[in-house]
Amino acid sequence: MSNTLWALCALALSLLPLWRLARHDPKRLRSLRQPTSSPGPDRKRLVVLLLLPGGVLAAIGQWPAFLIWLGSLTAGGWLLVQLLAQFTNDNSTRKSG
Amino acid sequence: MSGAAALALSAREAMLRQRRRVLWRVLLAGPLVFVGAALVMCGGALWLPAGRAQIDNLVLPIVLFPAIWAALFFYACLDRQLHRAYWLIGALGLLHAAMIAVHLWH
Amino acid sequence: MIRLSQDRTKTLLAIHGWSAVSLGLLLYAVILTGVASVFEKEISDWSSPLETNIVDPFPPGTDAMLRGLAATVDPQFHEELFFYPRAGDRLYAFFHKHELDEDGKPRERGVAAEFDPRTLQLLDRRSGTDEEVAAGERASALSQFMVDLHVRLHLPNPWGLLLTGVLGLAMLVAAVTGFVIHRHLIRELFTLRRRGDKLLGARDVHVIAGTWNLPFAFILAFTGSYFSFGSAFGFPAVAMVAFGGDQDAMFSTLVGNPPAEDASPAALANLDAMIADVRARSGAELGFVQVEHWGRADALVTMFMKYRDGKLLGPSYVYGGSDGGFRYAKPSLGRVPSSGSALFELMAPLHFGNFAGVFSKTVWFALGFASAYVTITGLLLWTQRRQAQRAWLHLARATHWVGYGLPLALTLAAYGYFPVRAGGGEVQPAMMTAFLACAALAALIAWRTPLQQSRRYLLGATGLALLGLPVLRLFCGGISWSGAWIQGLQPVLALDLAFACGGLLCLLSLRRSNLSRSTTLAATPP
Repeated sequence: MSNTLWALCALALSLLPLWRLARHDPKRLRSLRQPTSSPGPDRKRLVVLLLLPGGVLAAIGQWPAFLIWLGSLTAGGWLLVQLLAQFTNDNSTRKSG
Repeated sequence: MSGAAALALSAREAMLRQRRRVLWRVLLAGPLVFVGAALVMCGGALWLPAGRAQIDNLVLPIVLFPAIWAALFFYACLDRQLHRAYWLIGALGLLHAAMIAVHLWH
Repeated sequence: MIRLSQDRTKTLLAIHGWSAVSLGLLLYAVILTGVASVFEKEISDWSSPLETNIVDPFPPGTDAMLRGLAATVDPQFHEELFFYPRAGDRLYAFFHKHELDEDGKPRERGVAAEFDPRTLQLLDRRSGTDEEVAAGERASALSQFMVDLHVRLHLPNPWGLLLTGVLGLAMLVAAVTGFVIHRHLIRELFTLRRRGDKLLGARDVHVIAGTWNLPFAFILAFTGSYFSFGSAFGFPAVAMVAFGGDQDAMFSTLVGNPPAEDASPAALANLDAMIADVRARSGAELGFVQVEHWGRADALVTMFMKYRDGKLLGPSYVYGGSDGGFRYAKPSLGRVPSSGSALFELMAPLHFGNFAGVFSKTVWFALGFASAYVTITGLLLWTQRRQAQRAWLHLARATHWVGYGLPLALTLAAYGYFPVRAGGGEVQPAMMTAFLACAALAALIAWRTPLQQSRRYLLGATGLALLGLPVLRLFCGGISWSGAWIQGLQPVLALDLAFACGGLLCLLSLRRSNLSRSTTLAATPP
């Protein structure tokens, strides 16, 4: 399997827990004055699931794929936060309008 | 001298002393740490093991120069006792400078 | 968890702020041009493609082509040759000797040539020192302009390198102090407040981008300052101590090829055969070839390969020049693997992100963009916090000038390049003139108009300039889109599309900020 495929597989596996972590993040929800789901998802388990693909890549010595996975995860995480903020901003603007 | 004037004077003195301290720390963390890190890098080539390929002593100090500098810089900024930081960084720099001088002399 | 007293945290906060305020704008310039330089090869392929896609930049016939060039070159320049593909996969070859300049610094002097690997025709030929040869560069000049700005801010060596090295250290300091003082904010990794307190929103924007980008900011700063300081004073200083100043002797020791001198004449063996052998032996693509002592019995040919799939490190292959036989495989430094060589080799892929083609480059581009964003939002946050103090207004204006003016000036450098190259003029002064004129105009806008308005003018102009780049390329004799599609010139199509999208994004972000401004105004009671 090539670098790209390894990295894409690992990234795909990490994106789901990242999305759940972001959506149910209690601090984010509190800042938007939205109710936090109780009990929320097990955040520790989600963090483990998020990092596991990278750990596997490191363990099998796929360092180029590991770097691509880490880079895309951090850039993707930042983009996700921006999009979520934009989306909620648009929604609340529409509601207040 | 009234009590208020004396208080104002001592506050001014304290501020001046604080400013001098900051200047001495900037001198240490800025140019002196840079020179110290450069001396450690050059001197490191003399005492680091050469390794299997006989090149580690030459390459590692150059590649790790940013780390050497960062370690000395943060130490110089964060040590509460400024004179101790001067002594330690000065000693490290002078030790390496002496090693370089002895090596070049021979 | 690191526990710091209040006064130490205050010290770190002061270091974080003041290092960024004093060097932030230059750092932003270095990072932004670094972001563009990630696609250096693609930009040169886009700006100066050959008529068709080159499948093999080292085709059979390379040997005859280089022999023909060698016959026309003064034998004193046969001391060393290197050849590798450059803009549009033209094969660039440089026969040269090593000498010392007026200040005693080593430099190269010789004859450089560019060939079309498809027709094996000579396209360009220049002679002089390495700097003179680079100054006459035309095909790769646009990407080289970005790279020079990134590497040394177009300042003479070693001052430019020393300055960018210091900027790398400042970035390292900002990353470390930013992590230590904001580490509690890791819990707020997903919290970005867009409404309400403007200052809080500005802080969130800066801290969130910084936190996500932290590992790579550290990596890019460390490797960047190593590259700058290593060549500017690291290698010369260690050579001074360990080899009495003889840098050639140090590099011979580092490279690890035995210096068995035999100056008797001997024809070089067939390079095509050596290239075919190294491809079969390594299973990797060839990237760069060095020939030492062309035409002598002690000639050595070293083949440097591109990254193998799944690897960040790999050997280079050494051949005997006179018999063409394979001698040995070796790491970049030394004859056997070592931690020094491994660390040295890792610096390049970690800094350039070029180890897995366009995919890894795209990721590095995004990470570099995030670093530039962190730098500029940090400066905006600093000035926003002090907007009541008039003295900081100049920094706010300078931040707008560099933050929004630099992308515009970089784009306009291309507007200097294409028409002048099409007219056969000198491209380097044209690019520099366009860049500096635009920077001066941007300064005028930043200091003469209100901040919000200057942002709109500069961002809008950048959007329009980016949208116009593909059109400019076509008007200046560039290959058409249908032609590029038929000839398989993907970089031309991809970059035209990327510039158009970038331009549209700039204009869209302007429209969004206008909309949100009018919403805020409408919601504000009279």
